[in-house]
Amino acid sequence: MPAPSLNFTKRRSAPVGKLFLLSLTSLALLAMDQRFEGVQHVRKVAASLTFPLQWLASQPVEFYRYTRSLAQSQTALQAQNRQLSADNIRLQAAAHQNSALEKEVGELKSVLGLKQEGFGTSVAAEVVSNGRNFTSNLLVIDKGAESGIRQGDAVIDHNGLVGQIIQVRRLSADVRLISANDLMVPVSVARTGVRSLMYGEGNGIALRYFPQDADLQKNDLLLTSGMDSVYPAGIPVARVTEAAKNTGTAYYRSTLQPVAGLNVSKYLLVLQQKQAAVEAASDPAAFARP
Amino acid sequence: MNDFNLTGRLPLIPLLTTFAVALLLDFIPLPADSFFWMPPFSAMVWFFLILRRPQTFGLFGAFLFGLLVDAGTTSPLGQHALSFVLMTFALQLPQAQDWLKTPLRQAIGLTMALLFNQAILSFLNAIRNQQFTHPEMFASVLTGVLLWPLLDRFLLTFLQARRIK
Repeated sequence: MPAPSLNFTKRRSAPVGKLFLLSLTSLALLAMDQRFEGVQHVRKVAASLTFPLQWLASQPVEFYRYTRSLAQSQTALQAQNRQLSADNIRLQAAAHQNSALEKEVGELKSVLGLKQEGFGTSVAAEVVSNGRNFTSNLLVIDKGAESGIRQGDAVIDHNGLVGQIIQVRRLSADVRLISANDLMVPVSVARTGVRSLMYGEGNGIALRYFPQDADLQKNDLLLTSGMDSVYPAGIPVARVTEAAKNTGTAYYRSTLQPVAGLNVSKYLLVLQQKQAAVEAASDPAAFARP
Repeated sequence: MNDFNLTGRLPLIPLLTTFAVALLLDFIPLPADSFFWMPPFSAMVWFFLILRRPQTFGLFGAFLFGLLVDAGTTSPLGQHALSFVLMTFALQLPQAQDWLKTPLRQAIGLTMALLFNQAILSFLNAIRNQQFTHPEMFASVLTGVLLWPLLDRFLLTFLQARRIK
């Protein structure tokens, strides 16, 4: 068989102008991604085109998980079943205890004229894409506007806070992880109740400005404080793996470990916002009003 | 004639299937820490088309294809678009087209193109997220080059098969 021909029939001169224009457009998209609505619209269109492929691409992984679960021994499954039953009993007891406490808190809040907060309704979703990149801070889930998901909804897994919905399409949505650059989450230390802000740093999370006059210890659990009306209060966010007082600064030097499996969890729960929070999110001017 | 006819029309369905399968393979949500070696199929297919049909696939196509890869792999929008545009421009230079005529040179060209592609992605990531990409991500270049002769032969056969009838 003869070798394939490589003779090009037409030769074009190098389109430097087009290269310049398209490179600038790409750089502009990079700079404005997740900041401007116009760029969000471009992503929305592109993501709608690629979603069927993303869904299809996630099926072999699903199949692998399924076959792996089939291959598990009967003994392992029985042990897992016993563990889950025990967990279920423990969680049900905790839920009963919580509902009694919630009722009590609700009564106290109504006496004090405060609003009752809770998780509200939620939607279970499956991750269909997490990007083949160590540093990807976006997930695509298989539920969208059709399931009642809205921009700004909080997303959790079975361990804690994963991120926030930043874009919603009809059948899918994008989740920005809490580790994404410049994403802020109002948190409080579970042990002391001291409030602070947790920042995403691209490859991790950090508690940048935790004052040294407050108490912070290794293994402290950080929960959402509920101060921003985006994340409901009480969701586990991170565990403090190191906390030390620094000389020459007013803040702790700390390292945090997210409690949720940010790039690992396959199934997530989207916590839908309260109507007031949605209205506030859709009307940025409202924040500026006195 | 069993050559790849560069002057005729490309068969649309096999071409769209090629794009779809390349994107599909890149979209499989495998954990990056254990599948870092998976070759970038979209970039390889685009390299093939630029090599075999430079008069049809140009910078604008590279930009659009890159945007689709960005959207599907949850990368920042414009990242793959920029790397594909630059790679296409470099490969469409007359000197590059003259040079890439033997299988060995094509393999070297692909290595350089994929390394260039990965370097741009890493550079943009370093600027955007203030962090460096793990060096093992460059292993995908090696697997891509090893797979290239097979992919090249397969795509040549696949894309011309229906046109020979």
